[in-house]
Amino acid sequence: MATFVPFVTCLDTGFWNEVNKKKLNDWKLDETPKCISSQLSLHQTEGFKCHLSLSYDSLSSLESTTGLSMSGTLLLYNTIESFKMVDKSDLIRSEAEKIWESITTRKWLQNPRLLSQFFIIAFADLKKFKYYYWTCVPALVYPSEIKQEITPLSSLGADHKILFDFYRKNNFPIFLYSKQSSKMLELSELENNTNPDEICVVVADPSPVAYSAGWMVRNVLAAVAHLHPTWKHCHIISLRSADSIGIKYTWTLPSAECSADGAQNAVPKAVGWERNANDKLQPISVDLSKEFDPKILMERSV
Amino acid sequence: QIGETFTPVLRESKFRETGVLTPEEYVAAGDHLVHHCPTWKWAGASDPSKIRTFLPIDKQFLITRNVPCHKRCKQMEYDEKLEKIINEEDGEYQTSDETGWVDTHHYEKEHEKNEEKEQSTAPPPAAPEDSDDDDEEPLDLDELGLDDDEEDPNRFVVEKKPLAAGNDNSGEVEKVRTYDLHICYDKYYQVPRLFLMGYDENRRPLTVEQTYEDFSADHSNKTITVEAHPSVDLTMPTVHPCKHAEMMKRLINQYAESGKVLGVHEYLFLFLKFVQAVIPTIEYDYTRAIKL
Repeated sequence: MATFVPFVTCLDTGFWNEVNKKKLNDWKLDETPKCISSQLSLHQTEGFKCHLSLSYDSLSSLESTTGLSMSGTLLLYNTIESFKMVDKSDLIRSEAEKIWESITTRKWLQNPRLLSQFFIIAFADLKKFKYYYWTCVPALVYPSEIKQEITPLSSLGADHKILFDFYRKNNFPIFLYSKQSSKMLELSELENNTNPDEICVVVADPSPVAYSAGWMVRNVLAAVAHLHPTWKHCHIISLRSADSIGIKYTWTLPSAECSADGAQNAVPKAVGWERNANDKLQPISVDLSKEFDPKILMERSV
Repeated sequence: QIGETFTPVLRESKFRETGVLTPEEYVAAGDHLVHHCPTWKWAGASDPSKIRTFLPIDKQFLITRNVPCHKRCKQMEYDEKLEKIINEEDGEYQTSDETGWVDTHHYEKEHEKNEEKEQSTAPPPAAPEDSDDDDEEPLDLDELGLDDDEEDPNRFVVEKKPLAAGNDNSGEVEKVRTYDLHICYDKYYQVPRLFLMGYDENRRPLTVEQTYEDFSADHSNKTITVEAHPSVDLTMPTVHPCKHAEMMKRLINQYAESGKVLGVHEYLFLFLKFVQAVIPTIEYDYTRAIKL
């Protein structure tokens, strides 16, 4: 069975400090989703999670032009009650719909960032400086029964350094490597490639695990499987700063029968609510009174 | 901060003579570090009022995130192999042989910490004063959780392997902390300055007291202070830079004695090597650090 390394959100004090300021000065009671972004690192080699780090600069609209980033939304509720009442399955479903739409309309071929989105539901108690949040990085469960086989890059005729230099130069989160011509191609060329054994999809991957790709690859597979319904497998290169890996994914598709009754375009189920340190599907609470509470700060400085 | 305001920006390069850096040299050394250790990145100020004009807008300070820290310094003291590494360090930053603080029979660092502290009124970190508040938690996180009935076979799960016998201290589960390290430029002392922010295994920010557990014994009570970050609107633990220049000069001399000349762009490699003596268990990338 193929496995994909999930994200773990690392929200630092600087992030909440910005939230405090924006909530008091700009947003006030406005609960509409706010754009946020995270810089992902391809240099992680330790641990078993992909890091989704958010800091003081994650709320600014300026998205970095270098490096791998993921954009998302912050849903900050005014009351603890509304935070509690959030319909989590409804939220993930509507986010999955957006991703699926970018797949069925083939927009992802022009803008692959559409495939990887996250959102955070949160409540900030600005009196006690307690924060509750829960992150979701939706991944479509599609196609089904995905299996993986790790292959060294050399067997694909690819060279890590050439791929990584190409990535650094162009900053494409996803691009193609043609086994036939040994050339890098833009992702949009995937439409014209019909032989899954002649092309590799190269995905910039923050996974630190040597034998498993990161969470973001899931939606790439869903997109590839939808684009080429006849494909039963696909070669992915999980691109990291050191030791990229090749992975051959195989799957079964509910293809022929389903497309007949229109089910191929039905939005697949999505997963992706983050698990806490105890591997439970639960929100996380953080007490930052020691960092932010003026009373405590006063006492400490005496 | 006042001292900084009235100190003119250092213009003249004299790092070999005195160990200090000009802002330009700091930027050059930072560029070199980012190029060779890409886990380090340049960062900008958190808001325009914090921009320091003697540095480029997009190069206000250096940052590396989510650096693992598997052990507390105290646990490290038990490990003979690691002890050796420390003792190789030179000068006054060496971890001394005062073994008294390592109490092998009582694994109660909190108590000991309090004894060391002058103002021992603060409760141990294990029992924060607001623990009463926790009881009246307005939110039952368990209740809010989603049902775990939908199994996702494609989610990567770490295989739980039992801890190696020699590895565990009183059967404790390893608690991996992570740190964000920042290297700023200190205009007053004219040297790079390390700020750091730690998180526990549940990704909650560490208290200052907890952070002290990751500083080598010689430093935690002397050279570590909590101060305002020059570029971000936060206070953070920092290694006080008053002796950095002196120390760096000594390391530069040592390097020169081995017949090599340190280029100013390599300054931060040497700095990271020096910092390693202060935070020996935080596993940031110092593989490029210069060999003395």
